[in-house]
Amino acid sequence: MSSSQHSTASCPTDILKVSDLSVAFGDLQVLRDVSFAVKEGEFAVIIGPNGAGKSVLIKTVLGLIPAKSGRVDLQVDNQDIGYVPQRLHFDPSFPLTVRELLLLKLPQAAFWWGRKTSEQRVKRMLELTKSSKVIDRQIGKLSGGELQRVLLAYALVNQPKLLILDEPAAGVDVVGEQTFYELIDLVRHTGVTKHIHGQAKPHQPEHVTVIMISHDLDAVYKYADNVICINRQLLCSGIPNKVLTPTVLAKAYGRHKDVFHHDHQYHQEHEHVG
Amino acid sequence: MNTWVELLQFPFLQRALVVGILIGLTTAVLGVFVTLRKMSFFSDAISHSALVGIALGILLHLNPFLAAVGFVVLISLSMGFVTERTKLSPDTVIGVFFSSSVALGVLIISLLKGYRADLFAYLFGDILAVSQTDVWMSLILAAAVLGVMFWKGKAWIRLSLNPEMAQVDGLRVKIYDYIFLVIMALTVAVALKVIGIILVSALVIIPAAAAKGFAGNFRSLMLWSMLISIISAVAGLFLSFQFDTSSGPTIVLVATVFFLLSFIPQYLRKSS
Repeated sequence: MSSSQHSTASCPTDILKVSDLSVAFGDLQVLRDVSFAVKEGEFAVIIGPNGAGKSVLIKTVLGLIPAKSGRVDLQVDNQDIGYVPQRLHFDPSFPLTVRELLLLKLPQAAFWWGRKTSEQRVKRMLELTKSSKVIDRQIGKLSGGELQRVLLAYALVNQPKLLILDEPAAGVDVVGEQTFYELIDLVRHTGVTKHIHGQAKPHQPEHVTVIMISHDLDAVYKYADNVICINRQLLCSGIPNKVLTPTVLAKAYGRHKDVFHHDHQYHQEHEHVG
Repeated sequence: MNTWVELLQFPFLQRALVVGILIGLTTAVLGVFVTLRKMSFFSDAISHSALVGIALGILLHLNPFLAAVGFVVLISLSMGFVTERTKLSPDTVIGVFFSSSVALGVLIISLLKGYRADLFAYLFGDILAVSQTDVWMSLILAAAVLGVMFWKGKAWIRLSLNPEMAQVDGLRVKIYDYIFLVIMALTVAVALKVIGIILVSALVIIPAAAAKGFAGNFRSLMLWSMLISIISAVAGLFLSFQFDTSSGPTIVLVATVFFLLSFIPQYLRKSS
């Protein structure tokens, strides 16, 4: 992962710029020449069918998987990224409580002995993500939706500038999923610092940039500023209503998936793709 | 039958007791992370590789304890390296190292002349075998293990939870993995004399597993694991002296009793 301290682009700046990125596992080419950019403050959603390489793309951006060729320019340091993977794969009998999980990102002493400022911050984050009720519950005993909201709180607790979510709504029922998108939208528009300090910090960007993998086209039309559609290669990127043409969607999901929304209206039938 | 207070006047038992408490502390803390990271058999393979070190130590007239410490560290780092650099699954790597080091150990032992009673002590633990030097060495090793485990406590938890998330947060996962292997090796070394090669990993795993039944959060998991481990070590030592049994199996069986008891709170929670 490379990052440079100063950027020359016009305002708002690109927080992430991916250029001609290719990734391969041995002989298997997973991504070919993918290029796109995400601007500061945007809600970018990556879509594509199963096996399209969405998670691989995110992991390469994060430096977890090496790229075969191409560039990733990320304008934020690691400590300013909040990342939530698709699955945690942790032992469900791990008796870590939600409070303890969030304290892991705060000073060491707070974890073992407790500290008022850290405790307050944990509580504020759980309030923000509407999960105050589960503060003393073990993470292995949460429902899918509760765990996702708690992981969002975990990702937000040290005030990241960039939030990267790998299919956060997978395995969550439709109602829960909708709440989660609304929550992300709320976080973007109210900012994180405000929820921690009661007011925004002067030098902190008020709008968190979000990059998220999703299967839910309805949510893409409703919330996203930027959609990146891939299937091993880039199919389109830009404003959802402009770039998600029938041809692009047919290419991504096949002919049988050509029921989608051309307008910006939100329909209630909750069509899911994937 | 001697009272336990009278027993405490024996210097060898005092030494064994100090080492017992140190073992209890180190195995308990390490065990929590070993079970969370599903590395139980790693610790088994590491402890069995100590046999080679001990046998080589005796054969070459070196201090068998120090030879064992060196060898377990070498083997655990090698296992980590082979797992990282090849496509072999961890259980295959463990299987290969486990059986090869036992084979090599037994082969070297067969080269030794005469009957070696001290080898049996290394296999199953012997409180009479704990020297003053062993106490000091255990103290240094335990301080190192506990220091690293608590100093970087949050890092170990984050690694157990999700290594990728930890890496994105800026944790150098590979380095921590190797440090963890060294710590595992040193813990095995601390427990070697009292528990014995065969059963060391049992004391790493059982108290932590039992603690899960009692604990409601991570901090209490740590405390329960330490409590069960220390009580097992101390009670096991006294019982082994009273009944003239090997100390390792006696300690491990006391821990097993705690493991069985740990089902009671779990059962009560489910039925309520």
